[in-house]
Amino acid sequence: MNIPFYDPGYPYEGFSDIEADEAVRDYVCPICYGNLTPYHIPGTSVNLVVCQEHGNVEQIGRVTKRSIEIREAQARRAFKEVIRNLPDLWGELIPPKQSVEQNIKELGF
Amino acid sequence: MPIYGLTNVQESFLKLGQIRKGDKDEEGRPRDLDYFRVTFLPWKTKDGQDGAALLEKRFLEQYGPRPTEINIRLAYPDVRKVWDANFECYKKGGMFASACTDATGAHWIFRRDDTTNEVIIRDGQAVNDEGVRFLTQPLDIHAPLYSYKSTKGEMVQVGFDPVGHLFVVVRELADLAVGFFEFRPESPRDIRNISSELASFDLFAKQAGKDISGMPFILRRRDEQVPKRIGNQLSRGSSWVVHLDLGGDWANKALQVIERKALPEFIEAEEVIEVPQSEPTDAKVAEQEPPAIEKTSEAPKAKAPVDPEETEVIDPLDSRAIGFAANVWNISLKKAREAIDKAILTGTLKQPFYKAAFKRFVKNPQGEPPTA
Repeated sequence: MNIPFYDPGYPYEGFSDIEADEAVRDYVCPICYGNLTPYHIPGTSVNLVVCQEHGNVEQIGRVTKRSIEIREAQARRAFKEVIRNLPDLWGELIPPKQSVEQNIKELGF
Repeated sequence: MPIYGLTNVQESFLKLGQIRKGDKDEEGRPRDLDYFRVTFLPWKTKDGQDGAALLEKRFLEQYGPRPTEINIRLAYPDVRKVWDANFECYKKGGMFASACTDATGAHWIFRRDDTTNEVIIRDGQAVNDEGVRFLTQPLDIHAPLYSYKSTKGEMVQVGFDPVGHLFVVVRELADLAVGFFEFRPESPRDIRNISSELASFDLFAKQAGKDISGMPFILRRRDEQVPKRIGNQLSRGSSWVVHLDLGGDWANKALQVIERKALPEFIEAEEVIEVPQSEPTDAKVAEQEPPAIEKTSEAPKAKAPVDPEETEVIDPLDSRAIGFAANVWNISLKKAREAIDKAILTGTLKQPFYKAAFKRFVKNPQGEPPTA
């Protein structure tokens, strides 16, 4: 059986069946946020959990799906703040603020 | 310079990658490098281009494959939002526990259960009874948290390691994407250097009336002789230590400002000579009085054209009228509507609601000042 990123010489701890199921259900790859896949290591009672592209989670790490959702929400909120904090870099992204006179003119007064 | 991300990325402050100071050798063992290794996280632009490849290409053009200095900016004025360092412990690649220390000792921030991996402490607060049990016991930051038997048959003990997180914007990549890189030092010396240097730059910026988000920094690796402990032996050896330095001419200009502020203030003033008071004579009074203007008979006034707004009737509770009032009063639409409503009920605004009268009311909602 061909297990991606499996190196018998590397001291992996491995996941039990239950742990592997939980890891695949709740976690994603920290590099590409892609889904993880469990692989049973023949002759042992443990599994490897890997990202098909980036490798064994015991080496690359893993991150919960919930963390990714929180991070994305924080990133959207942070956008408006950081473009104003660094106007010399991202000032062009700040939406132009209309003056009170412009607002009043548009309202017909 | 055009902002590439203006139409091509989501409106998010994305994590674009990591700045690392080490990698793993052929046998998978971690090793320190003498340059920064920058990795890029995959992301797609709105037009489907590989964002990571664009960033990597630009980075290599600017810095080459082995940079020892990177020009950075900090995206927030508050140090706590760009830098933190805690003790962290990972289990099979996932966060198992984290803790911080202060003058009173070590404190849990996050912890999972040993067997079930359920979260028992989150943000320093116990989630369940097991979490309460941990929080009420003293925490030894150097004690192993768990151990496991590796596939080689060795017992491996795992405990806390210090980990810093510095979130930086790479200046040369800022026109490609709105995002940051995470620099994650794990050596106590690097964490100490960045903590102290950032704190001093923060103070320096505040003295100059600025904040750290306006300062150009350089993240730098420098070869220094540092004490090293190998077994029980203490020796000195070379190490590529990380420092945060000020870039550009910012420091010189800030020093000039601080020096100017340190000088005593000079107030320009005229010498005041007291003149003895005396009763004004008739001649003096006459001099002070303005010349009399000869009254002439008034010329017949031309009939002024009638302002169309004086006769234009509007609905004062129309969204445009409320919007006008809200803009002039600089309050919310809801509050403006309430104020107009109140004016109608109290009779300050009377029917028919002429546009000109409404504008006069908005400009002076308290009514005309009493005339003398």
